[in-house]
Amino acid sequence: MYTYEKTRHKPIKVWSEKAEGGRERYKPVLDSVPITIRSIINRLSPEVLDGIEEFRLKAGAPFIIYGAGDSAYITGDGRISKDKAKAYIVTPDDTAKALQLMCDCSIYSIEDELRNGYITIRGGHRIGVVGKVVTEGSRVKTIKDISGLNIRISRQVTGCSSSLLPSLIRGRDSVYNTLIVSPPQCGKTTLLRDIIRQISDGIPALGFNGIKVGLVDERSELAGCYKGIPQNDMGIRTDILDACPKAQGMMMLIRSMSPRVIATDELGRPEDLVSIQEAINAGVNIITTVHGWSTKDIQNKPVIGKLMQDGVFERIVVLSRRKGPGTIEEVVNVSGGKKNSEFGGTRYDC
Amino acid sequence: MIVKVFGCLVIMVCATLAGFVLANGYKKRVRELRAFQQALQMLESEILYTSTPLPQAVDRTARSLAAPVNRIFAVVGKVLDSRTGCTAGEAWCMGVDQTKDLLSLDSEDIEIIRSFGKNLGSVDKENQEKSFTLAKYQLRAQQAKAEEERSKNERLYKNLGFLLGAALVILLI
Repeated sequence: MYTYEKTRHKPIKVWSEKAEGGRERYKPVLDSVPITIRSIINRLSPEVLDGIEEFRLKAGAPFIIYGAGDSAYITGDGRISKDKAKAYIVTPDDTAKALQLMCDCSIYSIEDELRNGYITIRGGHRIGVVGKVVTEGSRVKTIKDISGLNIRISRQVTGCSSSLLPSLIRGRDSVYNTLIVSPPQCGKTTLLRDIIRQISDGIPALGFNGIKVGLVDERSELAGCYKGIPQNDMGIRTDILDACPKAQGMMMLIRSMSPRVIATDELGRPEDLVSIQEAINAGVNIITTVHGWSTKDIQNKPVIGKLMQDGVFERIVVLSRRKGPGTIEEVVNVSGGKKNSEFGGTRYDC
Repeated sequence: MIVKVFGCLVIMVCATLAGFVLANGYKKRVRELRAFQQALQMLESEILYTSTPLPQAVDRTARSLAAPVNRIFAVVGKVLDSRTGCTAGEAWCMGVDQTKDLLSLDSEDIEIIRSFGKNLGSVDKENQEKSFTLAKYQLRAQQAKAEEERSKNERLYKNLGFLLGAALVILLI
């Protein structure tokens, strides 16, 4: 077991909130909401639009946006407000129409996705769905009478992992088994996405050759595949299994695509343990993430705790949003039961 | 005298043609009802078996159908592709409105086709299948009715046209 000691430094660089794309990035989002909502979003100022992480539409409730740890109501004429009374109230018709529009008016084609409670649209944005769940036996069959939608803006921040990568790569063509620990909405997926892209493309500045990466994107969140085509740049040597259960996907990739690194998001199911061990045995490195607040916090998690005890992970990156999303609390070098902490409280940059 | 004969001939030809046009309406209605059933069958397999997204599914259906029935599907495809915020149900209504004057169908047939569109693209496969089954069943019933009317009226209108023409000529002479 590790002893945990936190060191904090001043931030070196701050991740600018500006992601690529501008207003064009929102086109798929606008296409998937009804005209009423579309005209409201269109009237938002670019500064507001840039910082938005989530749009929330709930039938009969105010239209809310979330971004940078804060939330605000949106008025009918496209301004943000803290006053609930001025907010645009989303109608049941809005949510029903939005659901149809976001799947190209083909609800029948997204039954599988709906069963998981979210769908991915063009641009890699994800839309979470709640409503009345229809079950068949003990299995969720579908969701009907949709009451609420949460549109999560996918942002690819190219180069955000650059400051971190020197501590994650080993030589010219290998990486350390890395675990990214992060509370929700601290930029864990954004960071992992950029790490994958860079090690797959190669990093000339560090003399690192690109290596084959196998990505099991169970929740279609990393690559943001829309009809099998990644909407985010995942690097030229990345093979993606979209919407595939992690444990199975890892086995499939090891056998079929001979990856040097396997990347997945949010490890934690018992069956994942076997697959990770299989990958390690096959000489494949692992980069993965887990929900958690600190290294101490995750030691008690059944799967991750076991893997940490076995000394599988050589680098542990802990994120927080202490200084905004993407604050790197520490990077732990795990070697022979000892660990050195660095990077206290810096944000990954771009 | 020549003018008289010519005039009589013109009247006869016009009356007979009018009879044929009316009779042809019965034939066309049957043909269109059959085409709609075929179209729904195609759209159904695109939706149920290959889960093709609706814009592509209706485009494919439109391409493999003859005018004027394909127009509804072409309009739906175009409206959905333009992403103007119309749902499939609304696009379908537009398609029906833009096409109905070109069709030989009666208002009951149009109503069946219109109400089929209400569920289009907004329900899961199971319910989509039900609405296909219902629409096809109703169209088949309409087709049987149309065929009966056709066998009853087609010859009648053809003969009636000719006979009315003849009667008119006799009266005028």
